[in-house]
Amino acid sequence: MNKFDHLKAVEELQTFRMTNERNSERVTILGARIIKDNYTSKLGDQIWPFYEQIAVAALDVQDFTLADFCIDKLKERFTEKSLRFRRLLGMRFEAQGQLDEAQEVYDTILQEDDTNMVNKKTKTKQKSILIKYLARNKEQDMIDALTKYLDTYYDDHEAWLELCDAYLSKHMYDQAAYCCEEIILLQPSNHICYLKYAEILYTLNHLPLAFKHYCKVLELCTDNVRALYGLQLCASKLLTSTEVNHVSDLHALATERLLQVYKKEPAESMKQLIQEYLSQ
Amino acid sequence: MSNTKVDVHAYAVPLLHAAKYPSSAVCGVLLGTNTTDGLQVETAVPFFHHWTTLTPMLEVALKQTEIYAKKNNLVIVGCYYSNARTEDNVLPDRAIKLAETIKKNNGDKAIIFLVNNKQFSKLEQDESAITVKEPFNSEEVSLIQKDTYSKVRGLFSSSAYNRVYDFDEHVENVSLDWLSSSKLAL
Repeated sequence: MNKFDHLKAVEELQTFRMTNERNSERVTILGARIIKDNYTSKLGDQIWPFYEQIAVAALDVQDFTLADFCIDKLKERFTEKSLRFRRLLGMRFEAQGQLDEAQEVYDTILQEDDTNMVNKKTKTKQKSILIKYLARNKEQDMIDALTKYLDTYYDDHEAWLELCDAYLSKHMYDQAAYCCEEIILLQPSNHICYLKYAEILYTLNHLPLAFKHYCKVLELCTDNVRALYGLQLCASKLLTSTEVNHVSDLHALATERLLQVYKKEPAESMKQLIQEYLSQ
Repeated sequence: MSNTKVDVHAYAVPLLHAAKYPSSAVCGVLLGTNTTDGLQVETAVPFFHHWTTLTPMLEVALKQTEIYAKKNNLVIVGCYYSNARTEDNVLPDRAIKLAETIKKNNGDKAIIFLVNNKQFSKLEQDESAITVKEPFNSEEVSLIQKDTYSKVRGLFSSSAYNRVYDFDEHVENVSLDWLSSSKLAL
């Protein structure tokens, strides 16, 4: 039987906190074990972000016992005066589907937060909008609310992302493309923004533009497989077009890079399949 | 009247895919055969868990799945969707569009599975967590194996969804064999 490595678990949890990855099942398993084995006494000051992280993950997997345990510990230390703590209470209501109560919590936080914590304020404002509309399936209202919000807080790239996704779910690709353009302005070296933009452009059948943006993704992130596939696909459709230069060169390049990427993989069947796909 | 039969893989893989990404919409295609008695839905291939309304990777995944299906003496017979929100049981337009494309290549036959999210959270009941949406022909649908529901319950207890990979994951890490998710050992 494997000995549970507490130190490794703590490190893993720290990594999740940094990367903001939503891996709630894993986090609750690790957190619950650390708590059960009383390893919490070895965490020092790290124990507070730990409890917060486990509480959020526990709410995500509907483990209210674990969540309440962590929330109570945080309450003892920070009390309800802490706005950050109160956000957790809001989340707890959300997890139980009590959207009205959650809404109230977020709204009171917004009213009381007149400090210079701009980041937290916008995040809470965002959350308030999302609960009001997204959770209740009122997508058009949410689009209106987010648009209004972004008029003021136009550098909130997460909000732009939410708006983009809202438009995408309604197949409003032009508007979604516009959101991507704003995100690209805010994060000009984030290849994922360009990737999303390229895919939206392809969906809109703007092949030359999609083609150019796939190239940009590969500039920022060498051999990005998704972009290679996209580039190869665009190029194969543009071979007869005179609008864009270097199509056949880039088509060949993308094909070659894909073959190279798959060459490193052991599965013979996969390699054959890719070769067949690329030769079509 | 023809019968549509569903193998346990075709029932399990979409649910496992949906469970792996509980906060997202997921989708994929169904593989099977067209027999004289009707459609036999054998298994499913998971495609996406994000950007599900965008088309380029859909084209790539479909083409590759066609090649894979042929190698395994199967054809693409339909698609499956799972919405992100629990109460959302509206079949998305893109599901219908995809099914139309599949129909064209499959002699005018295609089937759509929509995961019934409410029933999905009650797997202990012996009721289907998948709604079969067939806007194309009305046929009788039945599960081939009698112990499908209990098998699926077992899969969930063992977190089998961690063994299911979709195309989105594959392009992040090409060593993940997404197509073999359709051959998941039960």
